[in-house]
Amino acid sequence: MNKTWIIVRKDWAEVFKNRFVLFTVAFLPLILTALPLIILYATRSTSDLEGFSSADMPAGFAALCNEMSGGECVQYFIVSQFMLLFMLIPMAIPVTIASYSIVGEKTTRTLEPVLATPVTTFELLAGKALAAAIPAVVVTWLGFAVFAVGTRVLSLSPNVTARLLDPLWLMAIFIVGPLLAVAAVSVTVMVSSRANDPRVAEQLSMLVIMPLLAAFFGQITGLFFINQTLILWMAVGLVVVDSGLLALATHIFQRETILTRWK
Amino acid sequence: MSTIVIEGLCKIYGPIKALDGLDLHVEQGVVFGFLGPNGAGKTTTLRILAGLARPTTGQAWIEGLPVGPESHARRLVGYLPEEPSFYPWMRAREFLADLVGGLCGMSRREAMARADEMIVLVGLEKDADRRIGGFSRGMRQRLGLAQALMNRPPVLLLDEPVSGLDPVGRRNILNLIDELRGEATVFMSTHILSDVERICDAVGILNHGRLIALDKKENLLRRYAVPVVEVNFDAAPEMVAHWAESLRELPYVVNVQLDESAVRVTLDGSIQSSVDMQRLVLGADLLVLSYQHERPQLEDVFLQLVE
Repeated sequence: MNKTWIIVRKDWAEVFKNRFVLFTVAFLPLILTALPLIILYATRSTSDLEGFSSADMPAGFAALCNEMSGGECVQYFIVSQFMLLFMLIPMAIPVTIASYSIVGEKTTRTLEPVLATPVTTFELLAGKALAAAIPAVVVTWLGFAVFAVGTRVLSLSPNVTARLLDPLWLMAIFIVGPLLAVAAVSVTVMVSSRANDPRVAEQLSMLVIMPLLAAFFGQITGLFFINQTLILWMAVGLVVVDSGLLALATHIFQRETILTRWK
Repeated sequence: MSTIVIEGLCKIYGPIKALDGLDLHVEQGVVFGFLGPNGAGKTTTLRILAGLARPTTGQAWIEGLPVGPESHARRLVGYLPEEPSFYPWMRAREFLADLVGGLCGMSRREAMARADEMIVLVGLEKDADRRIGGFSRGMRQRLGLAQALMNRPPVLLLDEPVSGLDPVGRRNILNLIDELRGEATVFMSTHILSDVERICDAVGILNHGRLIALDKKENLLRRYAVPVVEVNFDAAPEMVAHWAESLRELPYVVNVQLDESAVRVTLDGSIQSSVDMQRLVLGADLLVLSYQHERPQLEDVFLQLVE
């Protein structure tokens, strides 16, 4: 069996025994999937949005509405704010899993027998990274699938549905999401290689979500709006950033440091 | 042919020099005892050989391959850490077959068969399907040895392999190591000198990161260990003291210790000195209760060199 996959399976068996990790993996996607659906439910009829028009929208956003009615544009605007939060899932979950997986092994010293086997540092690191990233990406995609079904049922019109599930958001969820997960895993590996407490590692690594929160508030305040070009640039930028972060994480993840700086 | 070669190995941790120019050759198929007081650098040496640490300077080779974290030499090595830690939720058989066997590149069937074989070898049959979290230190030590042997390594690096074991467990593990002689090169660190004396072919003594003695066990005993004669008299302490004083002038007597009517004489190691001492005791005109010519011990060599 592939050695990386053996590490992945072992890590899953281990970290999901931790109730805190399990809670984080389950709770965050539930909340972030429910929020936009609740907003959709609350604005499911035109009477709920009576009195709103495209003119009430920030100017930059109204331009994105094209042929949509005022009510449709408002629903699209409100819901799309929360869709950005979907991308928090592939960042937050790997941070929690990787922190507990790497620092947890350091504190219990269980990594020494594993490192003594002929597993390479790359195989080990890849195993730990995949064990953290795969659940995050899968849960994000599942959450988005639930949201997509809910959108069809609860949106004001097929127009809104089409805009909420257009290639912009599909690209954001299916391409940018995994790239964000890789960035989060790389940062967590770097922090975990130095930290000796999983909670400290998790808190420090969570700083990786700051740029995403900045984008969220930037969009809410009308500083800029997420469009296809921006998502495309985010994807390209993340490929570059991820390459650098992965190289740095592999360099910092030293067997000896992990074994000798465990306490 | 030397299976393990170490040349000029230095390892510095901050202000501490754990290894200070260690040079060492270990021949193929021997059981090598690596002795030294706490902090001498034994574990550091073993970690470097296992590819778990990098030397600050110097180099080591196993079967001609330079050791290191990414070296192919790691495939030739089985390593038992001093205090092996395992995933407490795993079961022993699962740990060996699924994790270790897989990471050693074995097929599932091969890993299962080898795991079963190892479980029997280290005597964990009854506990193979118990969670490791409930294992005693001795059981973890045996599981660690099973792990080290999983890959059929030609070189076995054992850091204090029998520490924490009960007498029966210790005997079993020592017998097991003894049986590996010739099949694998065993490099074991220990502070239990009687174990080294029992199973090791060659001995290296490390102190402050430097090798202070290296030889076959017999040569080392011959060279450094000094014979001691202990005599108990049934006589007045003053008379015994008077006789003991006369010994101090003899050229082959290294030391004389007096305790009431008992005398302990350290000799220079020549056979003639032992014969002469026997004659002197009988000619002392004192009633001898016991006469014991103590066999040189590795402990004496160790203490003599380290102190």
